Order: sequence, then C-alpha cells, then structure tokens
Amino acid sequence: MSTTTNLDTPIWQQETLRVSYIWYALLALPLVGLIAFVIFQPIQVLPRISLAPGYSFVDQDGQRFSNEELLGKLVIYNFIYTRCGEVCERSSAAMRDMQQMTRDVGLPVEFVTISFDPEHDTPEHLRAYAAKLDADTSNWHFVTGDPTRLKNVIGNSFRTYYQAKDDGSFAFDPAFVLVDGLGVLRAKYRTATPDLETVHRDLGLIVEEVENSDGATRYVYEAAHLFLCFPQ
Amino acid sequence: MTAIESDQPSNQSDVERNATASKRKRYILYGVVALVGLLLVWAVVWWFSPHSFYGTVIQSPEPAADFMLVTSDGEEKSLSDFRGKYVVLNFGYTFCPDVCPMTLAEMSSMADALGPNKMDDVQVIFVTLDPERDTPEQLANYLSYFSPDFIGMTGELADIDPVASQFGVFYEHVKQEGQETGVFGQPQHACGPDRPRRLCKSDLQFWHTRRRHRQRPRLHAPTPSVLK
Repeated sequence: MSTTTNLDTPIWQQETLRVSYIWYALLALPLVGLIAFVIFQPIQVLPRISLAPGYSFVDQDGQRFSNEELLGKLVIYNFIYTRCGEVCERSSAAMRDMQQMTRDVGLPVEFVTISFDPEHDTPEHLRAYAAKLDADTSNWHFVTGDPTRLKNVIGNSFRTYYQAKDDGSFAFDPAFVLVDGLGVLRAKYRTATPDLETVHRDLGLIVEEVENSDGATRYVYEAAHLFLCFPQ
Repeated sequence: MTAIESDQPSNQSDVERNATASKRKRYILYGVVALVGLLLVWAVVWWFSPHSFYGTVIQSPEPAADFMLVTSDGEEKSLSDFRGKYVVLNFGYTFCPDVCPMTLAEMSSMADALGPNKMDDVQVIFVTLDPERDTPEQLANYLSYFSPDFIGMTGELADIDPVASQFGVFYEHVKQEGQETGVFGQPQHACGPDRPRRLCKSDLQFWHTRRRHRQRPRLHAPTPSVLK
C-alpha cells in the first residue's frame, strides 16, 4: 500500500493497524487458552478441602498411633463403634472392599477406622472386631482415644456427627474421608456405602497429581485448583 | 512548524517525512503492544506461580475456628483479635530440648529477613502444648530470647487441644516415673485468619518470603514421601 493513500483509506485498512491486529491476536492467544482451560478442564483435580486434624490415639495393638505416621500416604478414614449394628457392618464391609480394590489396582492407601466409643472399644475389643471382619491390619488400623480429643478430631475437624445415647449406643452419620499425603482433606463421602468407582477415580486423581506436579506441570495443576476443575 | 509544512502535501520530501513519521508511529505501537504483552505474561506468571514449596494452598478454605487463650502478657486473646495480620502459629513447649528452640530461631531469622515493615503484618504465636508448666511468665521469658514481638499462648489443655488438632498437630504427654518429662509431637506452623486473596490460605504457606530473600527461612512440614 502506498503512503499517499494513507489519508483517504479508512483507518482500519491501513497497514499499521492491520499488522497490529496480528499482535492483538497473539496477545489474545493466552487469554483464549485460559478460557479454553476453564471450559474444557483438560485435567481435573480433587479439591483441597481443609487440613486434616492432628491426633495421637491408640491402635488395636495398644500402640500409639498418630496422624504423623500417615504423612506421605493416602488415607481413608471411617468412623464406627464396634457394638453398633447394621450401619457399621456395611461401613466396615465397604472399607474392606476398598482395601481389596486398592490392592488389586496397586494403589498405596492406608485405612483407619476410628471408634468413637473408647469406653467399650478397648484395644482388645478393636482387635477382636478386626479379626471378626477378617481385616488385613497391615494397612488397616483400628484406633480410639480420649473422648474429648475424639470429639475434636471427628466432630470439629472431620465434621462428622456422632452423639452417645443413654442406652450406650450412638447416633451418628456414617462417613468416609480421604486425606492426602500432605495431611489435606481431599474428599468426603457421606454414606455407609461409597461408590467404589468414585473412590478409585479420586485416589487416581491424587496419585496423578502427585506424580505430575513437578516443575512446569505444577503450574497447570495449581491452575486446575484455581479454576476449580473438580470432577462431578 | 510541522503544521505549516504538512499543509503542502504535494512536496515530495513531505511525503517521505510522513512515511517516516508513520513508521515511527508503528514502532511506538509495536513497542507498546510488546510492553503490554510482556506485562500480561509477567502478570500471568506472577499470578499462577506456585509457592516454591512452603506448603499447600487451599483454595477458598474455611476460616480457621476461633479460639481464646491466655497470652504471655497475661491477657486473654483470641485468634480473631489478630484479624488483618498473617498469623504464624507455632506449637511447642518451653522445656522442649531441641526442636522448639530451633524452630523459634528460624522464626526470628524469618522476622529478620522480612524486616520490621513487613513484620508489622505478621504475628508469630507460640502455642504451648504443656500448659501446666508453661505459665504466661515462663512463656514471656522464653520468647524474649527470640523476638520481643512473638506472643506466647497458654491456657487449659482442653482449650489448646482443639487448636492443635485443627491445624493437624499431634502431641502426647510423656511421663516417666510419674514425672512429666516432655511432650512428644511435631511442631508446625499455621497461617491464620484470612487476608485478601490467596495470601494466607494454608497452614504453612508463607508467601512474601519466597521472592525477596535468597536466604529463605524454612517453613516446612515434614516432607511427605512421594507416592509409589
């Protein structure tokens, strides 16, 4: 285009501006990419919900068992008392299924069953309960502790309701909680029988995130957290 | 001057001058666009740059549960009294032989690294896990070795336990021959009540420190072993 036509061509057809369109387009690329990331969610992450509580309890062998021993490991918690009937049975059976499932697919997961009935559920009772369940206690721990500390941990931090009744039984909400290796609560299943597929998917997402969160890809995962790319 | 000259477009040299002027304009435009682009890229990088590991960001977390304890000055204070500041909670006890003084020394080197201006926005609180022996006076005396600005907190164990628990700290009182000899546990830091945006969202994250200071204070959880 010759410079003499500058004065009478419309401004949007001038060369300078046309070249700058390319620049604008280049500028827009990251924005478009960003929007595409938010919409299509190429990677998904599990939300970081809150910090998991710290505790120091006693396990079925009478040994001290604290949350620190589980740092660096994926942990699934459930909450029961051994004298309870059908609900805890289902909850424990689901736990056993999960243990089997994680072993089958080769996921390193620890299981912790916290009893909120320390008066009755001594280590002996917990051991008997584990035996009755035919549980593999190598990575499944049955723990209990001081009542007020139990309430702090289960009630305040895991946000799971339980209340002793006059007859020694408990009213409670069955729940499973998934905690990651950093001690961050990542998922909560408010049911006595969580869907194994969902649990499997969630565990897989965390493992994937841990494995890929090195160097530059960590930015992508942080972005996924920022844009709430959570599975439905 | 230029106005008069451009009134005569028939002049050949004026046309050339126009051309160089429009070229110059174009370069300026490129310059501006490039600058804006760079700024944008920088902003994006700055915004998303993860915290080179000081902990884990928890997006839109629930606010920390409030608590009220007795400070080393003997007053009752709650966490919400420090709203508007970054609160670093450090759990320990004054009879602790090694870890607690080391961590507190790190805290005070962090305070030095940040400088008094930034430390105006930061409150380090040392919460004792051994309230029977750690009276307010004992705490004040102990903390004066590290920094005059650090606050100690003590109280009933029943009030301290939920605080420690909610920040993922475990502890256990160890007794030998009927005498209490120590507290077993892991000291940890926690960053307290909310500040604007993402600055203060996790237990351990300490945001400011990471870019300005080469000698970074270690504010670190026990490193979890990588899965698999």
